[in-house]
Amino acid sequence: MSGSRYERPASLSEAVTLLAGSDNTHPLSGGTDLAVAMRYGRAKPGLVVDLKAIPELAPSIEMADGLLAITANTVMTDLENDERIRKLLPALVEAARVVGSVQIRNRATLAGNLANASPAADTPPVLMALGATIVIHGPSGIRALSVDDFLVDYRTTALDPGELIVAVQIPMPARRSSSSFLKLGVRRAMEISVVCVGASIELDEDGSIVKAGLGLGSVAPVTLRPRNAEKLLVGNTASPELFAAAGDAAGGECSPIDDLRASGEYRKAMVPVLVRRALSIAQERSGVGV
Amino acid sequence: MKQIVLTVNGRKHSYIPGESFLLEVLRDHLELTGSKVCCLEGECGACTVIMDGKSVNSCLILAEEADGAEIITVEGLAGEDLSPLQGAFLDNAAAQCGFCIPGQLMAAQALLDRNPSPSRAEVREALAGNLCRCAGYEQITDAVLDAARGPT
Repeated sequence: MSGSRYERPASLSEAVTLLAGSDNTHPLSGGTDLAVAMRYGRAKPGLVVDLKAIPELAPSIEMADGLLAITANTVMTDLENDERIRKLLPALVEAARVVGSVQIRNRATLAGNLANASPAADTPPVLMALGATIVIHGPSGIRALSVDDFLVDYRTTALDPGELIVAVQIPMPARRSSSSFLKLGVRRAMEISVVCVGASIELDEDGSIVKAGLGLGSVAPVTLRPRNAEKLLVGNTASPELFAAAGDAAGGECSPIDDLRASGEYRKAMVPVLVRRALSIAQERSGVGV
Repeated sequence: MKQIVLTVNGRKHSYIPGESFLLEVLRDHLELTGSKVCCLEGECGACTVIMDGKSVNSCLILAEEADGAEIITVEGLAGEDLSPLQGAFLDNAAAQCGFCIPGQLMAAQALLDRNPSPSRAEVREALAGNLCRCAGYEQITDAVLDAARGPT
């Protein structure tokens, strides 16, 4: 691209060196966001570092030590098609399969969806609800952040210059737990959500909520974690009334804007509906107290 | 820019691209104008090609990313005769203005390569990233299913 140099390093350490080695560098994997930004001059990297030849980042989904580890170059199609994710983390499949189109999903990475940090992104609410950790490599070494800490502001992450995401780790769900994802939109494909919700719930055998995670998209400048709603849930017995109360609390924590897809008022009204539905579906899937 | 080597419709090409993205490499350098310039932001699918076995929007791929790749464009579907899929598009009147059709064909071919007997819902899902301003969706879907069924 005129003005942007391109390198495709064959090792992670070389990639970090390149990314940290000059001022205006940018990692590239799927490119479904970066390519558009470059074409229209919104992004003008001096150096694009293509990560797709790095063996450590090659698409893979591995289970080890109680974690599901998804490497940086793993694309949405890989997630959709993985039997273990379908069974254990249904919300992640539900989110991955509505990102863009088949063509987009064949290139778009889970890591890139996070790094792009759009508040409307589909997978971050799920990753937030599931308590995912983002593993980062950089010139100062390796560190890990929660999704909440990683997504700092509108299209702004906690990545320092020279850093890149190498993997996303998701705790293996406990026995009586499950998750769900709901996306409200104007049409059924190729869309940016009006509101989207990721929910994760863990219950004990009496139907009491041990753990609850929620993530909301398109209702704030950044993917939102509705902590008041979560606090209402933990320690109480799952019920439609409780889920409705949590939904209302979540609605109160949102500050959605008006845009071409929907008004802020409509979004605020839809959050409680989607949150209580998502919690209800997650509870059903967990098989407890239904 | 660096030299790239890419295989397009079975032929190897090696050159230093002046174009920034794969779509323009195909159209402007290789003169394969079947893939269309349309939204140029990955929303419409008119630029769809098959790259290393997967359907992708060629407008979103930097020229250098295509180094080492195997690409099939709409020009690569026909042999001596039109492919069965192309024949089915004709038989089912799937093309109206024709502008979306190369992208639809490539998305459909990629589908049939991995799922030879898709359901109607699966066809629609697989082609959801290909917009048709003439609203020829029903005929296009019929054509893909017809091609999947094979000669009767």
